[in-house]
Amino acid sequence: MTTAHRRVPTSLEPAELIERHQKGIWRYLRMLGCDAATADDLTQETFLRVLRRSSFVQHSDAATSEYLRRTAYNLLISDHRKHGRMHLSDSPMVLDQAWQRWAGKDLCGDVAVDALTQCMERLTDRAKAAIEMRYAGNIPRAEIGAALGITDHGARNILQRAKAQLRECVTEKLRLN
Amino acid sequence: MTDPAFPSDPLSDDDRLDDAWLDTLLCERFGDENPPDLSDQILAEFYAASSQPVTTYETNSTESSIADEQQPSVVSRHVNAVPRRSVRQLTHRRDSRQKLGLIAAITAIAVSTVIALVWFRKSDPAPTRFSIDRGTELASANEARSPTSSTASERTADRASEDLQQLQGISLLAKKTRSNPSTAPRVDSSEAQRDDSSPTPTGLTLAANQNRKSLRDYWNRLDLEPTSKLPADTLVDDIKDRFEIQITKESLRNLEQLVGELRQSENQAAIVRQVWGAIQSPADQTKRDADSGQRIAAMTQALTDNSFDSWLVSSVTKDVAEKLDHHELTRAAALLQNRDLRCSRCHDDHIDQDPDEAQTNYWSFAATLREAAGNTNAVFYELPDGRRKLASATATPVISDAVDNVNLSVSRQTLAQGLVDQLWHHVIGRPLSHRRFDWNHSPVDTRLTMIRNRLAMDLVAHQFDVTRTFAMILSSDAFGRSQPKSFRDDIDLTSDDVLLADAIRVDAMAAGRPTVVRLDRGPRLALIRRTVLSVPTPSQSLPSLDDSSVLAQIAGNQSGRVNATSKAKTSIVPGRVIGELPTWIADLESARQRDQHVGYLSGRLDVPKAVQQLVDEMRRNGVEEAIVLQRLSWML
Repeated sequence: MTTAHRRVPTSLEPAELIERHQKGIWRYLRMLGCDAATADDLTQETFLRVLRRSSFVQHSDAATSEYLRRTAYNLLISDHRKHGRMHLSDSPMVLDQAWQRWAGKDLCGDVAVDALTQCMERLTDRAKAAIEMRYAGNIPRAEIGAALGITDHGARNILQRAKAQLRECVTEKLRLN
Repeated sequence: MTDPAFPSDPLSDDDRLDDAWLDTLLCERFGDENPPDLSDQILAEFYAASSQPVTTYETNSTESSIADEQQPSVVSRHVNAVPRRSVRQLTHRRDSRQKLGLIAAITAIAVSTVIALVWFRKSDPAPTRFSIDRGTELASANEARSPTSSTASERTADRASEDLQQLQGISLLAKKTRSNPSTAPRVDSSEAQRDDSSPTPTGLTLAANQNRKSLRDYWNRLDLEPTSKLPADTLVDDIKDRFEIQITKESLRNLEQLVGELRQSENQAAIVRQVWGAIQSPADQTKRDADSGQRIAAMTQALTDNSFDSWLVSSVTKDVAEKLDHHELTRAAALLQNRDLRCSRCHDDHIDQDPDEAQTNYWSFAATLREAAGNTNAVFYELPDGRRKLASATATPVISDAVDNVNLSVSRQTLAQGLVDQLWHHVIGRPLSHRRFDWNHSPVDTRLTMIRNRLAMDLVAHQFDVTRTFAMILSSDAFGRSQPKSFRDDIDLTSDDVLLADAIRVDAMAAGRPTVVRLDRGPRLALIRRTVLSVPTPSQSLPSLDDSSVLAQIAGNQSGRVNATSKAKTSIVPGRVIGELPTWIADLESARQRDQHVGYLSGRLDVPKAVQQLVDEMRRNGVEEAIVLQRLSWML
């Protein structure tokens, strides 16, 4: 039996529930395109909605996680609608499959973060520098290119290749884990 | 077993979602955006009413019903934490929630009762093909209430299986009817025996019913309540006015009858004109008008001979071969391959990194079509870094039943999907396929893809009998809906949630579009000048329009395509500030580049000088960039 399908203890306090699932829900919302502040708000709202629902029953960690994700997803849709946005993502079913690949093992994605840290070490120095500039400094591609002595398109290529390498490495590690 | 003729789901692209996960984790690792510990805030708000007892729930290791399992125990608990929101806000939110919860509970009970009554009245002791739908609805309802007794993976598998069953049902019925497309399809006798109380569903009505259900599910997912259908009299008049098709009121309630009436000779001619209007390129209207008579005659003949698919491929190929025009090529890609190549002329796909939509493939597609039509002139193109490259043809565009045969450019199924999408857009005014480059599109959903695929399978199974498809689109729930009562065209100027929700209903095809207004560019510019920049405009230059029309927005790029005849009308939907620009356009470095790309999406290779001046003026006056670009799109 995998970790994701294990039974939860017979009694689960709200604090435990939040502790166990909040990281996973927050990352799920971030993956759906929320900024950090919105992810904070919607994570909070997700747990409140679920905890206040009198019909809420937990059968397993996986089922609870899925229920929380579905609630978070619906809240995100409501949030988009409220702000008149039309940028919806894939169906929950498709998103769940991606979730299983990246966070299904530990229900929070910490394993994936560890895998990413290890995979970063496999990148070349230039690729690592490009990724760091992009994600740490939010530096435009043209400036990354200038810093590395290559064109804008060169920077784009190096970023794309680095991300493809990381994606492949992380998914492989998660698969073997 | 899966149907080999059914294409894979375009939205199940693992790499794309994996990229989203990777981005999230990279932001977290480098951008210092780690998941916060929200326990205190959540618990503080949850326990804010300290006088109220706190309910915890015993979890149950058995998999019995939810009602049996739920045994709440009462525990007092206090939490010392600083809530993120003020106490006043929390109290207000809690009170509102309690009231809303009560209202929701009463509504849910009432709705459940009504549904149960209807269900029991209609229920048939014998299982029918429709039992799949009912089962799905019940399963969905259970899922919405709480996690069910099965595991997540089992539920996911169940849902996938249900979707597949629905599609296979259509596919099998379509195959049964394939041998004789001229007659109405029949279900087999064993199926007929299953449901003695209601008329036996044919493949046509079954497909229409399943499409209705998919559309309802789509609206439910978006939490949208569709507006009511227009009265039958109004709809008949509307169909006559828009499509020059004369039908009776009764046919609107009977799909078989509707198909029969559409097959009448006078209606057939109108349908041919409508199909012609749906598949032609709007950018080359003038040239096409010159020989449209001959082409329509050839198309009519092809429809009569059941060779419409071959005619369509050869016609589109010939157009591209004559002139390597961007609009012709994107139209060809939309029709033959159901792909949006509007950006691929100059860019690799930078949103999803889809290798099929790389610049190389765009030019390879162009070379292939040219070569197929006997034009052997080489096609050169420029790479983003300025180098020139020779485009190589890949294969001859031969029609095939194969879906993924790399040696053939056009599969019949893909061609049908492209055609269905064009027809749907033509009749309903919104596309079924997601257009990710546009910021004003229907929300993405696999259910819309399923509707498109069902219609496409039906089209393939009946030798591209477009009359059937036209009838199914006319009978769909998306057609003939009334406008929302509160709807106004000046929705752009409000942040009212109700009005915005109405606008979304229109976008999601759950409500009718606003009144059709034809407006040339001159008055558009004048109206923008008057309303956005507050520059007085002589009223005589704006005949029969009031200010409420100014912010109407063109739906997609289909200006002049709603009607194939000279009486073409411009369809409009509300334009509103969406709050954020699509990433790809926000990433463009200069305002000029953004303007240029809006022009490209509007089907133009440049922005007219007068329009550009007005756009610059708006920017100088501090108008928000999202509004500037939307107005630009509207003016173009």
